[in-house]
Amino acid sequence: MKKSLLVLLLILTLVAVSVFAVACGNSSEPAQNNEDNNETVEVPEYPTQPITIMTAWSAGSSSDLFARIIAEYATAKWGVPVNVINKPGGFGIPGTTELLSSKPDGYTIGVGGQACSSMMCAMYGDQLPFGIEDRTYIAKLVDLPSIFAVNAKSEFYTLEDLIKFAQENPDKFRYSAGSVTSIYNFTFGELFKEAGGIDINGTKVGFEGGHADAVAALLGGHITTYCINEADYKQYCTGDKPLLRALAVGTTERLPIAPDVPTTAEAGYPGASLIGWYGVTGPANLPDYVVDAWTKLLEEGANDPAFRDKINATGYTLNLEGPDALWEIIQKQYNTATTLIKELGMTFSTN
Amino acid sequence: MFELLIDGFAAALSLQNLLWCAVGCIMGTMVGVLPGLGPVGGLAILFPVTMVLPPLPALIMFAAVFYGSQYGGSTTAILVNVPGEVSSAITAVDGYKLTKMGRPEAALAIAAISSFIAGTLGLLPLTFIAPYIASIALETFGPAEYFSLMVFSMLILVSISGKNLCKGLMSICLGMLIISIGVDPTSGFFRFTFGSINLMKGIDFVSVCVGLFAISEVIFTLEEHVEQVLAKVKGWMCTKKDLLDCRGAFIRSTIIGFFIGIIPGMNVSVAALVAYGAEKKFSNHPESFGEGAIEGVASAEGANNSATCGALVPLMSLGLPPTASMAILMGAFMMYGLTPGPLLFTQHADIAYTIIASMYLGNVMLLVLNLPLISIWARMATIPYVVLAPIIILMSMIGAYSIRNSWFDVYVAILFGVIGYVMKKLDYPHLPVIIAMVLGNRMEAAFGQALSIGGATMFFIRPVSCVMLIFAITATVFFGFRKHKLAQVDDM
Repeated sequence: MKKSLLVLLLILTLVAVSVFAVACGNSSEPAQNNEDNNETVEVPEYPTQPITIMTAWSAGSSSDLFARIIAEYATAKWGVPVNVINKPGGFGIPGTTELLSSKPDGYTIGVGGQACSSMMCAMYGDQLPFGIEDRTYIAKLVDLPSIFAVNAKSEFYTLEDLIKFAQENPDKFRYSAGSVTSIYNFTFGELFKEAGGIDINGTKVGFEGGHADAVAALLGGHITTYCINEADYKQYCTGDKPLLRALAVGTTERLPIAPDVPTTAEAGYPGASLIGWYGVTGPANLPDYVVDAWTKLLEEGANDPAFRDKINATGYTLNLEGPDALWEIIQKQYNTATTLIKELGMTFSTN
Repeated sequence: MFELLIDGFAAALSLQNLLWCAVGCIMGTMVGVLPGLGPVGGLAILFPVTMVLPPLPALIMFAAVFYGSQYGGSTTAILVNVPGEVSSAITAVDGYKLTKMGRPEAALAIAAISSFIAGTLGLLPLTFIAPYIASIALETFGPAEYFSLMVFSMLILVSISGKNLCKGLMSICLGMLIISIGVDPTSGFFRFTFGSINLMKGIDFVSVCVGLFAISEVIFTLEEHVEQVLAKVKGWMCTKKDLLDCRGAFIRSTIIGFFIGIIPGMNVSVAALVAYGAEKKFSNHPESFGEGAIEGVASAEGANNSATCGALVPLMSLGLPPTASMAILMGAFMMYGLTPGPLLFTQHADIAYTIIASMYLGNVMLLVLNLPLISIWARMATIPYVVLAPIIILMSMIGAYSIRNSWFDVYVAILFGVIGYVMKKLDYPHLPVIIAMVLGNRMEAAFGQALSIGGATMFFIRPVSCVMLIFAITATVFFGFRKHKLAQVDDM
């Protein structure tokens, strides 16, 4: 009798403690970035402890893959364990918030893309506890060009055909932009802005499962068009019986894996040129030696054939750029996105 | 193709591959048994292995973890009503009752045998016709069909929700309310988040499952001063009669589970639910379902194994991971530069078929692993509850944390433990809450997508969807009417 009562009391205590913990904890704001002018004479040794790489996406996602490849390389080079921790949920917002609230000592770093930085800030604006400045940008690792694709069984062979269909048949044309914070919202946005006469909100179909769900819908013929990436292109647009057809690539030059596919500029719509990326970022006010150490590591990696092969094996192409270049990209993407949202009255709801 | 398969078997039977297959099976069973921890958690832990192992043994091991977890999840579900996986919650309905009736070994044996039969048979289509059915599945199953299938599944859920229909419906509503917390999938708006970053993540149904089943069960059993769940374990195998009773269930659940599994994006629990519901309808004694019908265990367990095989079809032949947990398997493929998809079967056919061959072997291994160990597992139910309870709670908290590396999920699990206890006292069923969460999530998204694509008529214009919806509507009307008539007769 007494024993079971004791255990019951223990459990109730657990509940009480946890309620308190939830009420009093986890409400920290991410550090605001401020101008840092300290000249450190001596550079502390880094890293001396295990490093945590945080990603706001679940295991198996692209960010996670890159995080693990980087973690493996860093562990080998630096000799300290570098672990990947996934903090998925809420379209990356809680995970990113947690990253940005962690101590800027260089032992918590994030791997992600525009979905949890420029695009997220553009879409959610004030609702987020952070803005694009509240972060240290370390490096961009890979590029993610958008490839506009349709089902191989469809009647569209050029981007022009697709746009005409969209303009003339608003009730039949359907596109998807993947998940809510996906960059494809804006690649399509730029395209439709240039083309004109397309209802950007009414013809959009959202897929909460993200990229895979949207590709499935395109393969099944339920939507008219979607943007795919280079890995998908290799899978579905090559071979004897391709399942999808690529109409155009949203870059300035043709892609090496798809030499026959015109760029959007060649196809007549130079505006659609937003390129996604994955890279390494960290909480705001990271010391310079941390940023330098990481950029040096990634540069070594880019020259290391084993690392390069691993990255290229995922289907994305390595295109390393440093912190300043990344910051420029962020700002450009953020401005483009916010302008598009305002001009086109883009909402992120479907009907 | 046969030569490729034979080559695949030859490669799979190599000592190294067999060894890693066994490791995967054991690891899979373990993560299946632990409440909350699932193949995702297990694979995330094992992921670094990709750096040292060559592709074949690593991928064989990962695949083994997957179907292994479906075997393990039923063990604790049957013995102590603590489902290791959400899909095992349906097994627990009849399985735990069987344990209380003194026949845990029968339930465990049937679960293992059914899993084996379904897992092996389910591999056959994967081996031979995967690419063809994958495309067909994609084209036939659009958002409208998803929604209709969800409606259909909801109907089945209601029909198995216990004696009090009203309370069952309330549980379903609770489940749907909980799942709507978080970010709206189609619009990105925040719902019920009250400005909290944690609530933005939404409530994960695994943590609710852990809380409602494991933790609340512990609280409830403690209050009843139960010394042990079971006093003595008598046998280690089910009777011949059990096997004969279940022969229909084995086949039906395999077929239903597989076809639901191949739909990209489908959760394995839906397969278990539909198979269970179908079995109840086909049975001569439907009223025994929920009170310890062995066919219930067979159908739920078989379906979740063949659904896992089915889920591998879109993954391997089209590169579309059906669920988040499969995405990590896909990630493992990609780490080796092997992108699953149409090219896998053409360019790397040897790897694809070796993995498939090893899955057959893995199923055999798991049967061998599980059957003789039944008497040992069953003894778990004889452990004094004072010792068992804290172990269950600890495992549950670890499992809840491992879902998203978040303390929030642990608090949710504890909270739902208390809620579950209250629900049990008031006689509200637990299972509908969880299943409603799984279904509701998908249902809402599919509804929105279907409306965006074609408007409200979409559901009836597309044939598959139309058939399912009409069936659901007529079934509701028919059975509701009949129940009403029966009630009238009772009143007289």
